[in-house]
Amino acid sequence: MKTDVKQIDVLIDKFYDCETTLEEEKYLKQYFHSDNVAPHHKILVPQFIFADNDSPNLSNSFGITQSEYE
Amino acid sequence: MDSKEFVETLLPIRDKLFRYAKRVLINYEEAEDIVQEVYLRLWTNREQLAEKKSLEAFAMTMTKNLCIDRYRSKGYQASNTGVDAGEVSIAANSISPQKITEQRDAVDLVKQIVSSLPENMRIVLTLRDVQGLDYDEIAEITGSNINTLKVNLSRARKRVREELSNKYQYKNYED
Repeated sequence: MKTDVKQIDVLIDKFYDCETTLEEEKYLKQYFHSDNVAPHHKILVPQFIFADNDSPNLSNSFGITQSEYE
Repeated sequence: MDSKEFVETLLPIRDKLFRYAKRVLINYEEAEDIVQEVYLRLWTNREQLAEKKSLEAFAMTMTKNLCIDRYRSKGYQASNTGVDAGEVSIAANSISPQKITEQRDAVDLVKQIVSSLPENMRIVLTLRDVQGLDYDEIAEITGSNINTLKVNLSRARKRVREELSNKYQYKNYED
């Protein structure tokens, strides 16, 4: 993934101001998953990968047991 | 409304309600649970149902509200993404086991930060950054307007960044 760091900087600023589209957010996630993360972006990696939804599973990963609702 | 009417009127919309809940909660069992609750409540109140002009809309509103309640419940947190932190790391090329552990710790940390956010921030961040919904959908689910949502989301995202960088600086001193 070839990336333009300046473009990523702009997108990241937009992200924190909620001005990015879903497409742009997807692009950012891809960037943060790649091996090309710029050193000054490394600290942000966890925020962009923590919710990776590529494989939403259907198992009971909710950490809530049925009984809590009864 | 008698039971025959109940079945004829309300069962055909079950799929629709389920699809909605599944889409919002991204979990089959949770969605099933919500729909069952909706039907239980409808059945319990079937005497009054005849008066509702549009039962479908009524059932849909009930489903939405229950989904929101579920979001607000203490157990529903960012960790509900269904993705193990280890999987995320392994997906990203060959990295050392030590790095996987670090990344997993960091991912867990983000989940902790998110779950400690005030409710309005946590809900919007989960719907956007975890479930990937667009703002119109989030507005519909939460009943807030888009500007308010964005203000809360922006604060939430910045808070996560801030706490992440605080924790990491602190951690580096410790090491």
